[in-house]
Amino acid sequence: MTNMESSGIDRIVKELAKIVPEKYILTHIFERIKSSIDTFPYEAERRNLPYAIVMPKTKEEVSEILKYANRIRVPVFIRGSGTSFTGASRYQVPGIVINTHRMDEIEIYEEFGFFECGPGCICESVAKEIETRGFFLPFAPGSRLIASMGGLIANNTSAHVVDASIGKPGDYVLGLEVVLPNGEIIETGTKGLRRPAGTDLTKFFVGGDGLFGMVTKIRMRLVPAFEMAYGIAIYKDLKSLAKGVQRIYRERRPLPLFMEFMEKKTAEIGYKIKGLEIPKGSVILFVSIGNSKEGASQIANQILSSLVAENPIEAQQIEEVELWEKLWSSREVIGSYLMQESGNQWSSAEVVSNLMKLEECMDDASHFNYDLPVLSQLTLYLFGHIGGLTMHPGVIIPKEWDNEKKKRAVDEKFQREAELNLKYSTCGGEWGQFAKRTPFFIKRYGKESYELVKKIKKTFDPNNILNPGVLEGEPQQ
Amino acid sequence: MNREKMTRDLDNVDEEKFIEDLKEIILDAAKRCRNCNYCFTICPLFHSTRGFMSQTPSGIMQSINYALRWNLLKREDQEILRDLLYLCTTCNGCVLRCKSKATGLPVLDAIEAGRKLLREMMIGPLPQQRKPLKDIYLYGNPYGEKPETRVDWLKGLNVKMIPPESAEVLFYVGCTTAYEPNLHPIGKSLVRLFQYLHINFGILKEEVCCGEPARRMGDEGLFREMMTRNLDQFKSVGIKTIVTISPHCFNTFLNEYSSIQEEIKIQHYTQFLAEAFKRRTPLFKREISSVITYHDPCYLGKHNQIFSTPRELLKMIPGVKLVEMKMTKEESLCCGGGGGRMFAEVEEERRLSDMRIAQALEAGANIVATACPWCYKMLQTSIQDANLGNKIVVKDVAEILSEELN
Repeated sequence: MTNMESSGIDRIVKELAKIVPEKYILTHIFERIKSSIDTFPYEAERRNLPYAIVMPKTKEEVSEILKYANRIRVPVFIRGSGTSFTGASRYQVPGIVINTHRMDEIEIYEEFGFFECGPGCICESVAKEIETRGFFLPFAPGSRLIASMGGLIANNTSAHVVDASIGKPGDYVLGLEVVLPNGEIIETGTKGLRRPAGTDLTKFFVGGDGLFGMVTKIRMRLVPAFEMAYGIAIYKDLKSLAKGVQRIYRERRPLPLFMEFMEKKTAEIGYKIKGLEIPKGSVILFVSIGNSKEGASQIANQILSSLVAENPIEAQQIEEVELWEKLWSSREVIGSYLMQESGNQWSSAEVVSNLMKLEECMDDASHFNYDLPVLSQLTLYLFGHIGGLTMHPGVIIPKEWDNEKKKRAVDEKFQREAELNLKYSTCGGEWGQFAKRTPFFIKRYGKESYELVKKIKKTFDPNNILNPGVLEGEPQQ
Repeated sequence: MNREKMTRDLDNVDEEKFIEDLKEIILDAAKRCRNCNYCFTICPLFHSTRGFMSQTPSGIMQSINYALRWNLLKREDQEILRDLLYLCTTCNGCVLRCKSKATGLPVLDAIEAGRKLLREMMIGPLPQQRKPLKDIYLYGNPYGEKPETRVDWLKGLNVKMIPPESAEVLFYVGCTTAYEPNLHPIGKSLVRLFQYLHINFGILKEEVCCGEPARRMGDEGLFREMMTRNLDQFKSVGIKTIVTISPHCFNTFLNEYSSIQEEIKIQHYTQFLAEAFKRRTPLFKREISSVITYHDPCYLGKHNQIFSTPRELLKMIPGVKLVEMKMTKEESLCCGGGGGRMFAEVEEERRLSDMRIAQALEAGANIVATACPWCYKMLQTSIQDANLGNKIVVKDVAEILSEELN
């Protein structure tokens, strides 16, 4: 796809304005830039800037936009909040961007036991809306303050929660309204509370990386809120910490909703900021859940009994809410603190272990940048969602580095992430499968699998109109 | 008269360095921005504009950044960039959010540097903002009102005029309260409260604008000129304490005037009253049954972290029920009047003050209290336009206290 003359863009706008009120279409350079950059530390490229950004309100408008795009063979990119960590929201060719912001309605049907929301709803707003009625949103991304529901569903991200505890968002999606890349509108799933047995088209779109259609309405089961209990364990080394986590699974403990860890050096940063006494080792923090306070506390004790068996320096329940909030936020503030102290940008990978080799994988993760030409120049920090066997080794990318060096740093990160996830036969559980991760997908699942996805994509989207570049991935440096 | 040249001469600023410094503020902040977009949902623009990505804090900052880096200041882009930069209400929400959750960037400094840069290039401010700037320069207020009528509202109130008289406390009224008849009750309430507390206070006979609107609209030269005029006056009358009505004047004196804070104590009236009431416990005439919600003015709350003091003052009144709106304190929704927006029509799909009144009603309040003349005006306009006067009224904290004092 090549860049278009301005007369061509004018024609697109004219046609789009027949579908959506003109004020919801922008073509100015500043919107085109901001609508095509993401969290990567290097700047936009002029040749890939979108032609126009359009904000439809209804599924019918989305449908007409996609039909038009198919007629003129122009790519369409769906944009929620643009915070992808894999490059899925940094476009490699120009096109039309559909910004989902206006599709932000939420309806709560307590009598049916579900809620419905548009893809432009912000995760935090949905969570607050249902929490006031005694329900719980069963996922918690770090970007909860801005992540759009459309993006969350397209990635099916379990984010910080332990998958084995409550599952992934897809386990709660009862049905969807989807506009296919050719503009056809379909409905999937059910308005009941049992998800379909057998073929359920919902599955193509939940965790479909935005390849097969644009979700215009999401129906999710309302999950009653539960009570929580909190616990901590501190280990002198990562090996014992890993063994403690393995024990929880092997000893058949009820799994915690959250289980975070911080390697000692990283934990020291968080503790210091929060005015806590510096920990003597690497830290695990967890949240167990139950139907009552006592129930949650009993489960926390069961988890602790496994953790204690690996001789932690300390392991206990935390009952004082104020102390717990300090401890929990000590983990949350690390990234922002490192960025603020250095004046630079945080960049991390998603290394996932299997249960058997957690010790070894943690060791690998703690040497993540060891021999990488660019990343080895930087200090490594390590934390993650260890209950989900996930580690986020990260670095601070100096702002002084030029674009090329920053790109090499990002590419090295994905290459090493791929090596480790291949070694442990795992995959990312938070950030999506393609874009920067396409080479990993091919190595992990084979060319046949990749070709199969391409064929499925072709079936849904014969003209490769929707989010092109995501499946193909970016040419590696 | 070439005002541009005149203010520049007055400043005696190295113009080239001034521009380079502005560019550095923008480029450095934008380079560190991770585009995590956490600033979006705290920003009033996200809730009030169409919500395009450039209409957000990081969007505006990246726009001026790329304008500089990619040389996008050509004619067709100039107005677009200007309109984006002047959308910002300067509420400071993005700065607080970035500090607590992300990179800790001086987002607002970058946006205001962008405005100053556009002003230097004669691209900014917005056309409707040119007259108030000119009026500040010519008349000492942004409304084009005559300086000699500024103290007319004080007739019969027996308030000292400084000079020739002197006083311990300078009550700095500010342009909006002085000239808007609708807001005179706020000024009069404070006079009554000061008299009740036996405060030795006075008002400047020739009070002029603090310059805040000029700085917010990017006219640094005019701001510095007003700062000089005010500082000269403050020094010549030997004032030790300044108490303001407007959080905007308060913030300007406290955080933006150079070399004043060491010699003069700067207080917003809510702080001053809270201290004074500790010395003399107020007696209230009755128990009231009002349900009050307090709207945090951005320049009191988000800029200066004064959240509890006004609420504590309201809680002193017997019987008062204080309720909170769903966006409150650090996450309070701006009324839409700051950042020079009082003087221009900018894009609002949904008016911020309308949303705020809806939130106040949702909280069950029949009085929305505030402590800023601009917030007062914005909220009152929304109540009037929606014909909601039978359900909710806006009152300044000073008015409520004054009405209920015995």
